[in-house]
Amino acid sequence: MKKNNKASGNRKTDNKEHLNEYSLSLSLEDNIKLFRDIFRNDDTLITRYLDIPCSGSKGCFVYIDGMVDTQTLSESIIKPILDYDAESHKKNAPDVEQLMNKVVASVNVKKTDVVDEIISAILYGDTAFVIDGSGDVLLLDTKGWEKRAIEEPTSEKVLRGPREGFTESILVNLTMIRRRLQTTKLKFLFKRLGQYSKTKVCICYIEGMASEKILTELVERLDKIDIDGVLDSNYIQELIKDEPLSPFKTIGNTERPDVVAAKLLEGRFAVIVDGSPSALTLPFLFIEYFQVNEDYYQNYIFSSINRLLRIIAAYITISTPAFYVGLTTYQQEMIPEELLFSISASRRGVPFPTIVEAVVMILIFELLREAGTRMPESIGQTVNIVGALVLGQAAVEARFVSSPIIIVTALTGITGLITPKIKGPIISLRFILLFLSAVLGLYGYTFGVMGLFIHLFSMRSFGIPYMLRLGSLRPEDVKDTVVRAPLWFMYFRPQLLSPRNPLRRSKGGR
Amino acid sequence: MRFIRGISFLLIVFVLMVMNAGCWNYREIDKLTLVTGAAIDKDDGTGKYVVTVEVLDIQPGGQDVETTTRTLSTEADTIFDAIRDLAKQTSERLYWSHAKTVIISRSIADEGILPIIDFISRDQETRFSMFIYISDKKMAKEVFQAKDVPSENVSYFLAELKTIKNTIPEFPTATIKSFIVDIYEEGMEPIIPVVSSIENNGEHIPNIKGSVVFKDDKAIGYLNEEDTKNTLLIKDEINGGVFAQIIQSEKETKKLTLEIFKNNVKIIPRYVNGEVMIEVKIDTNLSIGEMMGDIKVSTEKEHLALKESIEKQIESRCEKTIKKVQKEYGSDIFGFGRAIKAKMPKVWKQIGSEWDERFKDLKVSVKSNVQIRNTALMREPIENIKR
Repeated sequence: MKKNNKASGNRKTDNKEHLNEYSLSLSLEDNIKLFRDIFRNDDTLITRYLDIPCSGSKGCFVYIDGMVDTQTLSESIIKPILDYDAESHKKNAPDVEQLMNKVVASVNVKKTDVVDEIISAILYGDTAFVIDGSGDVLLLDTKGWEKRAIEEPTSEKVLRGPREGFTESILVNLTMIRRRLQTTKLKFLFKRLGQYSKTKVCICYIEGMASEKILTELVERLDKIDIDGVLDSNYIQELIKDEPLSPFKTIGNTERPDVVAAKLLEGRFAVIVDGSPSALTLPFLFIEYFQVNEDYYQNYIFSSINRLLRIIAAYITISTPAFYVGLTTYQQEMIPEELLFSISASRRGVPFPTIVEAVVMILIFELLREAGTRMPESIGQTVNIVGALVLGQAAVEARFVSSPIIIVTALTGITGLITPKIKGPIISLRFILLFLSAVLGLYGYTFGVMGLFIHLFSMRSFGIPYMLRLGSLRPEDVKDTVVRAPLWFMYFRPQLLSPRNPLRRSKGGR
Repeated sequence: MRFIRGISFLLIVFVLMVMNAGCWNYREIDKLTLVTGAAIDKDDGTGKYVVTVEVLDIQPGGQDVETTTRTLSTEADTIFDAIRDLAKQTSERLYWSHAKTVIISRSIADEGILPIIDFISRDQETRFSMFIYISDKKMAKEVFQAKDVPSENVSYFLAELKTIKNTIPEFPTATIKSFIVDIYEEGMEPIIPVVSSIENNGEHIPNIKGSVVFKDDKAIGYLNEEDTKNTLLIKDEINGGVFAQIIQSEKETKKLTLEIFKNNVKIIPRYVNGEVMIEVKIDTNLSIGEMMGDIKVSTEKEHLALKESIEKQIESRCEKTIKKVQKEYGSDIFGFGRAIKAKMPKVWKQIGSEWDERFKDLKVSVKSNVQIRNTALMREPIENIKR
């Protein structure tokens, strides 16, 4: 703060630093000058003067070009004002109050004289109506900007289930949740975060179901956020998550309203951020990496198999390179003879040690993957062809790499794509385990896995153990973990998440 | 601060892991020479051991890999010394974890093979499951000269033979482990199969022929295939395979082949008149696989007659083999002593110390009980049906 004062003191302009130093006057010209001053060097600010026929005084609309729906503005605000004939109603010239109550045909009108509030309203697409001779300003809801249509999110496709996805507009998103949970218990708490972005952030939860402790904690953490701009929900995710150094998420995110609704029904919280199509859900537990909304829309046996596959795939993708390197460089006695012979044969004449091969090939795969997500679609084919050549036959035939490592890389890559949500931690874990087993063989790998589990079991998300119930074999606890039990069999909500309202069904009996 | 403490804790754990485990040994798979088997001889002149190893000769190649084998041979005073010496010939480390066979020459076997086995059971790379064979050639390493086996890999060929043991039960399997167990167990002596070779289209193929009888770790005699088979029958190591039955009558010789399905042997020691006796009960479940000649089995009487003749033949065969082993070698390869020790520990305490002598005069009776399960797809020979 001190620094700021000094800096502004050194400046020779008379521009005021804070909005609360401004105040409105009775003169229209002065007020418009005030707005012009606040929005200096910003040519998108439009001021539109008009005479108010009924009172004979002057007025001015202040809004930002492109943020307002001009049709609403002209049809339901300007036209009624111009058409309003005070004489015929045998009334005096309307003051601001009357304009608001009788003339303007806008849904949302507010009278205020707080400059701060007016400015943020203008910035959010409202129109300020400034009237000569009045110290108050009318805020008219004219928000209307171009929005993306509701589409199916590309990152979370389903074969069966709703195809709606969140958009960038927070109100649209909230309505999508509201449509799914039509109860007054569903609460929306708004906040504005970011010094410059002033992003609207909404905490959603179901009262009586979600834990109040977590709510207090969440609000506290959100209040502590001090950042210039919140451009995506990940800004918030990263600023309030537990275990900030861990590669694992402790806050989930989804682009699907049905997923958010399901999480809310389990007693979780959702944080919707304006401008971001992905909503945050919390607390986030480890098993949620493997839970997909489609699991609950399909037959439970099929879902359980799929979930098991996802877990196995995650295990394979972090372990295969480490396992291969450990076996071929330390524990050769564990490889079956025939396999050993063919690995040995294909390794002969390859210039690099196995560990270098493994690291390079996995790096190449990750490069191709990253190129695939960043590049324009039109050159996708080129990358595919080059990738197939580098990661394939040509490399083997040139004896740059041995063929088993290609199989290992391919297996690692494919299994890594099965659960895209866990992609981040997987890449780092894969390399950590790989290096451990390059130094110590399977012994090192085992220690790596032990370390991983110690880390996972020590984590918490908003006070809830990260591996909640994963160490238990009680049927009640396994119902929605490795297998997905039939819906009629799941009586209870996760207990720690929803301590006071544990029953999913009204009777809860068997 | 917590972070630094965590990191230094991890570092300590990591250093301790490396220091205490001794798993340092990073070795590339292609820098290893893979040993598939070894043959051990003794040079009569110098008295040194001749160690010959069969190693894989892997040609670098991506698609179709042709693996063949070659042999390396050296002489030294001890086995370990010789093996280290062999590395000079390959410039690569010899890797023993996938070696499957060790062939020992008969002359070493006569002197005792425990000194040879010591290295194999002591070293961490060589495995207890390696198969032991005794060579009947002058030099055991000649076995490796047979080239007419898959990938020229004689060791693996010999090791794979165990998989056909259920259909051709003519030879025992002896591994390092089973040999050591047999030696150390009281009232039990090992037998080890003999590897020889037969000619096929001018090429040699290793062939297993009978077995060598051991007393402790010294070879003392040879059992031919017939005797080996009977021994295995008594040791309850046969659970399949066929044997031929010849029915001699005045007019003609009839032959039939029997296929064994199940075989269950009980060795029952008895104490009769102050003397220990052994009764061997063999329950065999078999079917008729082949009939040559006019044999009738349709009626109960014929069936019983056939059953009895089979039982008699099994009994006489087994008794013959037992007699031979008792008289010529005096080595309890059937494990009769072990049975006595298990069932009559008190008696064993008295006679155990002089078991070698007692075994020679042990009274053994064999009781066979045969159950003919079926006659396969036909009941009687075709000529019978025609009539």
